[in-house]
Amino acid sequence: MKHHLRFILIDDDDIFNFLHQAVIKEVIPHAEVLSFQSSKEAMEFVSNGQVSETIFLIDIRMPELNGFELIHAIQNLPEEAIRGSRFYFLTSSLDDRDRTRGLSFKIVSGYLEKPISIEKIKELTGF
Amino acid sequence: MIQIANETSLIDVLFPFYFIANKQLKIIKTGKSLSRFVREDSSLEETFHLESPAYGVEFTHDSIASNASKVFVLSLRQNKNNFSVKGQFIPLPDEDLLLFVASPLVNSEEEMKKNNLLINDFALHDPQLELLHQINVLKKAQQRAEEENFSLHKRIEDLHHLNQETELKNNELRKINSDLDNFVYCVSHDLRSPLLSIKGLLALVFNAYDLNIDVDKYLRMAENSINRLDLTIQEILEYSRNARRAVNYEWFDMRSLAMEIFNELHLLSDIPVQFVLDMPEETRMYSDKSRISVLLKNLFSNAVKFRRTEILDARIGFTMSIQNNQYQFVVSDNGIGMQEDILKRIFEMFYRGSSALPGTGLGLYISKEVLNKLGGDIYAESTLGMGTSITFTLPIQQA
Repeated sequence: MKHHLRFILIDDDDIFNFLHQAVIKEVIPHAEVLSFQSSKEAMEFVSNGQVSETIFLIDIRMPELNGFELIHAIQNLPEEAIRGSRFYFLTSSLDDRDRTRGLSFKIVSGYLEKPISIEKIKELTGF
Repeated sequence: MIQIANETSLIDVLFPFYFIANKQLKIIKTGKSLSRFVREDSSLEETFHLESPAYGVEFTHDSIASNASKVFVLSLRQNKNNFSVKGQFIPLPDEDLLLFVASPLVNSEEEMKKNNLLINDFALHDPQLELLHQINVLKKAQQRAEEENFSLHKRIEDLHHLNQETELKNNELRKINSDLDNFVYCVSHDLRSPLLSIKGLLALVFNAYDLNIDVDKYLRMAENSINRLDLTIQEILEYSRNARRAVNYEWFDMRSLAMEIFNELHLLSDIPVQFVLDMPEETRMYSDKSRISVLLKNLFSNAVKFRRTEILDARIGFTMSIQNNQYQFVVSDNGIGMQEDILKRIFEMFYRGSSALPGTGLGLYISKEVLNKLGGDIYAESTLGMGTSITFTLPIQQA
């Protein structure tokens, strides 16, 4: 079984980035975790580098690009740039419309609620 | 036939507009109604113009007599009302006389009036009378229909107006509803977000007890989240207070208020920022002091927050002047500035231009609302990497 060991966290609230990184490290101490407070910078990173085989956890309500705009932009990248990567929204929104819209993107695998738990990370990675 | 010519009283009753012309076409006798228009002994040709038949008939006795089977329309030459009679000539061969029996051509009450004609002027059997009556009835009906049409039109117009008003109200309500919806969406998110981060940090702390690691760091982060939550709640309250509370005018000194607010911020943040005041001699003004305080606090704290950390001479300028009969204030900084696309949205509710620095996205929105309430205005200019200046105006109030 192939495990994803790289995570990219995108949330304008740095406390969440720290928190989610800590939770991931609890489960997979050797996981590589990159976090972005700015969705714009995250988009630059994704479009410049190879981000295959990565689990993305993306907030929805953010300044600059919001989560939907970000996913939309990523979806337009060439397929090999994101080969084998999985995308999740990770949000505190309780709004049904956000969930529906989030799950309507074909590259999005799930809609998760903050804060992410150790169990959820285990479920996503198979660790 | 001579008898007929002599029995004019009978003809008068039957055809009050008759006349008799002799061989020389001189009108020798007129009916009682026609006598008001035509003098006896006048020439037929000089008196009447031949409207119909339009051709083939000349003003001679023989020509007229030979066309006796035709309908003649004769109009008075010297009459501005176009008075005309329609009838037929009957030759009376014994005396070479021509009897013309006719009715006036009138189609409305107005024409009757113009020619001073009365019902009595007509013979009782005259179909023209019946025609006039029918025309009258039709006219009245038409008038009534027009009136009804008009009032119907007016009612339709009124309804249309009402409809438009309702639609406007509807749109307003729809907008309020959607604003409210958006407000609830944003607020619930912004209140919930720090709570969830605290919840997550607490879960880490519980785990960390076993491993005996950095609990202190988690708790400080939790505290940060609590502060953020508190700030969001405070700003929402400030927004609602501004919307709800009546304007409360009082005298205060703008210079000392600005100093006071800046010093509070400065003490809190302990950041090296210079405050440069440029004010006129008289800085006392009559306005809503607590609203102005909220406004200055928002603008100054933005200037501090968005300073350029790499420079040593971070500066906030505050000027006061009177322009176009109102106060004008400018809060300027030499901070990080912003791009045009962000600049044009900064007064939107919950809009945050940058994720690099914390904020609720409410400060400038509230500032704008405050100035709306006080009859002032606010606008911003900025150059990326150079700084931002916010200008606001206030009316000069008389105490």
